[in-house]
Amino acid sequence: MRIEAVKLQICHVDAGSASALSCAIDRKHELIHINFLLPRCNRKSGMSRHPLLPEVTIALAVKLIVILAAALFVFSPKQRPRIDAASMQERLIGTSTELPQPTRSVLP
Amino acid sequence: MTTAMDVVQLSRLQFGLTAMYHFLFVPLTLGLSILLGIMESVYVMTGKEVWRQATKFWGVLFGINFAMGVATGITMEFQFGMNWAYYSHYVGDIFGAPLAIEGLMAFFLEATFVGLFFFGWDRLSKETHLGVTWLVAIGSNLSALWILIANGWMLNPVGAHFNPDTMRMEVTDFGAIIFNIVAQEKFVHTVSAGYVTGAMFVASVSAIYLLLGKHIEIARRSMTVALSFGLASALSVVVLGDASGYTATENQRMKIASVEAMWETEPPPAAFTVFGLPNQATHRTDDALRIPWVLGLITTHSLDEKVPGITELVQRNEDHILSGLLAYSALEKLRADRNDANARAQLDQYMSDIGFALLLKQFRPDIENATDAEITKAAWGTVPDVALLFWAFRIMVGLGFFFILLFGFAFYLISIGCLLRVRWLLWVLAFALPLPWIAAESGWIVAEVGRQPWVVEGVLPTFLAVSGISTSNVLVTLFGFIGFYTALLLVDIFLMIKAIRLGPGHNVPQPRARELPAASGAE
Repeated sequence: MRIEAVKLQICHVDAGSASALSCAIDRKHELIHINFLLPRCNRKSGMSRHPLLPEVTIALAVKLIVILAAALFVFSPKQRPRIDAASMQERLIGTSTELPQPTRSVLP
Repeated sequence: MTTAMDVVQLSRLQFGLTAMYHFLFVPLTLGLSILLGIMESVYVMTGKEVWRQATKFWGVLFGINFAMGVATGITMEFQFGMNWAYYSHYVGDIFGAPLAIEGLMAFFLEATFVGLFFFGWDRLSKETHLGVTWLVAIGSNLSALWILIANGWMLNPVGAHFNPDTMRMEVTDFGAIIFNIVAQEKFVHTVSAGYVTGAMFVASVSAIYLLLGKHIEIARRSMTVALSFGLASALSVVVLGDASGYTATENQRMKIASVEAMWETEPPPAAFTVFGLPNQATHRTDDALRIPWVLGLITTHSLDEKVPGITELVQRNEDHILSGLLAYSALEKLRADRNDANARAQLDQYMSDIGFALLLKQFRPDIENATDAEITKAAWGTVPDVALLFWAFRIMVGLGFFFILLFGFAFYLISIGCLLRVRWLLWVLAFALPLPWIAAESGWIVAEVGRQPWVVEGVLPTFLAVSGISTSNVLVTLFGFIGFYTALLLVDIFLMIKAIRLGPGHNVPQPRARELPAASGAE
């Protein structure tokens, strides 16, 4: 049998119905019918809207604002302690250059 | 240094409070995660729905606790940078690595699979979900491992050396840091304590249900699992705690002497002080009740090995200070001339004691001119708060033995089918709920107060590790943390009580009805 054409048909069905794919061979007209049943979506984008979407968005926005505010006002480079070898030297041995003069005998 | 000491005390208080608060959640996460794995394993093996319901119920309580634990742990990492900047610079190369690995490996594992645990019940096969549950448990325990490797290094700093050019400690042997004996023993001791906490939590809540006659099937089964797991864990805690005392390194000897309020070295085997009133001013323990031999046997596992007392260790530390002054002078010379080979050799020779010389910085900046009195004072400053350690240790150990007795007796009764009739024991189990937390916090007091005056034992004194920040800055964040954490604790307790009141089957996500029927073959 020769196939002259393939006919693809997409049909929208009620939201909540199952999506389905069916395939049939029409020998009389030498056609292959492909029918795709697609449930109708509530939104144009085709993505279901999560019921908590506004709350999640607000929570994320608030967190982002808090993090940015903290980064600007609490952890800005100006307020961040900056420690390097020189400041560590200042902390541990100070600026003194005197040689040690222990007042007691030192262990061998 | 007086003002700096105020910042030191406040920063220590802040870190201590946040750490102790964080550790209210950690042990329960560790224990409950394993218990969830055990209960779900039974469900998969037997196919009985009651085990699935039990896993889901305890899983909800685990989830509440897990979320709070994460929130309270993050602030501690910030404090390393903000309050302890000199510490972070000095040992960041070593300390930062385990923390980073913990975050990337263990916590990501735990956090990823905890979502699958909650939302995967009806989307994954039984076996796959069981795998997920165990991965959550493994992730929790791996988190503890890496954190305790970092913490263990602070108690026994191995696998690192000081680089005088960068003025910081650098890793020389990462394997030594990972397999640090103090870290490994601390890990097994700590997770065992977590298992006891998880077991006690399940046993206590189950006891309340049994007393009220509610959710009997789940409570009875949960109780059986909790008591057997709790008994094994309580035995482990005591045995592993003993092992960590036995392998105490030189750096930890002062802690052990302080924990035992042992002021003078005694002829071996040393006696154990069951009760006493340690007096740090007079270097005596008043009204001491002592048992001969016991301390020597516990600490050295021998009859002829000495346990050094505090006074002897202080004298040794005076020698360490003098030796450290040589390293200090070499470091000064080396910072002035990096090609001074003699100074470099001298530094290498005495470097292990430089931290002791730095203790003198709290008395004067030119420590080379320190007087005998200042050296003696600095050496006595290496003695932590003896009374606090003495009592914290006894509370921890006393509770540890109590847990063995309680779990052992209750397990025996439930094994012969009598526990439900012994109602007073159910009451004891119910009221024992806070005890594992008291024991665990006491253990941390022993470990961390016992480390003072060091932030890294023998390497860096605590007062030199703190950032150059103002007292008011620390005060503001301290009160902020106290307020915020109190609110979090109230929310946690409210959610826990609500979930327990509702009981199994109410607060677990119900299976979602399948929205799409399977396509038929005809289609």
